[in-house]
Amino acid sequence: MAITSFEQLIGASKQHVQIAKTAAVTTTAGNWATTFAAAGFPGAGAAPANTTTGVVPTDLTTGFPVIQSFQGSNKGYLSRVEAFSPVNQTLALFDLLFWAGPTTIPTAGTTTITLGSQPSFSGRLPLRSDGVTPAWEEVEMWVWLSTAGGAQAHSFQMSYRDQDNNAAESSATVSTNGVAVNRVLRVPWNAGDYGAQLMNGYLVNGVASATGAVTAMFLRRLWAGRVEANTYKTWGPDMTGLAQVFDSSALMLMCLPESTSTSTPSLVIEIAEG
Amino acid sequence: VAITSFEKLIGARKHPIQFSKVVSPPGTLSTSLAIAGFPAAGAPPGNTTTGVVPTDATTGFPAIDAFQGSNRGYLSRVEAMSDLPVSLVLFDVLFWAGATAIPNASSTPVTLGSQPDFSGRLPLRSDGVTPAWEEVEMWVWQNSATVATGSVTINYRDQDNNAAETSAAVTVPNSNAGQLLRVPWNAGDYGARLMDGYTVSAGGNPGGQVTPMFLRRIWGARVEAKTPTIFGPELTGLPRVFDTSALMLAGFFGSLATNHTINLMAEIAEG
Repeated sequence: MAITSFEQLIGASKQHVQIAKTAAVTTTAGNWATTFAAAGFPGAGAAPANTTTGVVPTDLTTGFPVIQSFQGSNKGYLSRVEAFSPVNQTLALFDLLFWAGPTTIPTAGTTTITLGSQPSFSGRLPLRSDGVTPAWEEVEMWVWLSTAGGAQAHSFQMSYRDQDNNAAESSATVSTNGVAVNRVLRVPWNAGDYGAQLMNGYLVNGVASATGAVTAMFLRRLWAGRVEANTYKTWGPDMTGLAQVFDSSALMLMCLPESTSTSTPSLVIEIAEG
Repeated sequence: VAITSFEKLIGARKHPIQFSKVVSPPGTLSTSLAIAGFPAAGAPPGNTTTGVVPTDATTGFPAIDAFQGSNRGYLSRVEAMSDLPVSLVLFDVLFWAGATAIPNASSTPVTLGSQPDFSGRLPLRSDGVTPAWEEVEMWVWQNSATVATGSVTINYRDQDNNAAETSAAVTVPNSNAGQLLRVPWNAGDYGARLMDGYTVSAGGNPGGQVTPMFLRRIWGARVEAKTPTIFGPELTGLPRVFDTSALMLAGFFGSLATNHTINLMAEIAEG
């Protein structure tokens, strides 16, 4: 089944999922941060504590909002978003497809994390128009400073299998020097790449006196919009684009605040199924 | 029956439900329920034994004409205006109990029994059978001004029918009346089926009352000052509304404001 017409959308069963944080994240203006570890609705989450296989988190993992199961072969779609924020910021909603970590930034040398027997996240991607191939190009590579990075010259690099199944690709290096806790950094592809099928592992390059810890993530972007301070805005299906959402999706809110705090944003996420 | 197409929506009978209030809210989310206007002022239920499922016939809530036969109702459009910028939220009050005074010392536990059922005021999950318990939110209405902080916890049965869950405490601040305070779930919960009771803890000084509530969020949006704004069905999302729904309008002005007008027309399509 699928929703293939406006009529079906109107008649579709809809559920409302909330992410409403009651604790702010202190960050830096103009940089992405996640509210995942902040208290609120749902409660605070934490890094997966797995550096051997990695984990495909679901809606039942602590910190993610629960999504009711879809009936039969129904598919889910992001049909509407209501957002409120006490401060000016851009909000973005992601499905967290896969993650591994946290890994402490070493005080000497490089910590190499090699994953094996990784669980598959392909079922959490929409299919390309051939109806068969997962849309690997929707995967984005990010790193979460699950503990603040100290002011030293340390860095992070991801190893992955690319969208065309070429193994052993290596990302460019991302500096984690002085990055505040709960900030998230996008990891650049190796030249020519634009998606990933597998996280092979990652490197954490240390330096003397380094502090901090990182968690490597594959994310799928579902929606983004700007909210002005104390403003409650709604994006209908013409604006969400009816992105496909799964009843196991691990929905994570990211914030791009225009000052040093995310404050306490909230989202009502409408998922239509049919 | 149900409205399952745009054609049916166009042809549906529509009910205009009006709110018009002059408010002086605190600088946080607050309810207009106890303020005179249209509808007239409401009050806490005056019940701390069973709790109450308020309806559109309860004083303070706007009347909704009964739907015909098996027709269903949907929030199809909202017209809203305010003379100051405000974020407005429309709730259905599913269940409430109180008011209970914030004690001068120690705690006041309230245990409810034989509670009336509010499940008929929830839409069903896509299985067509199970009430969408996850749409229930726990709130406390600070229905009279306080002079010192207190706190409230709610005891409830969760979305999975686990009994004897206890919320985290929500602080009732020293502030004016009207404020709505959201109550955090016990870890892992995201909905509720029953309010077992609640505990109101000391404020250190006499004064202040609270009314715990189960609310269902229907709609919310920002309205700029002196800018009547219309939200069509693509923005309301056509959430279910019942002809017994106890619709309550809340607003967040973001700063202290006195004597400001908010008007809202909620259109309910039936079919």
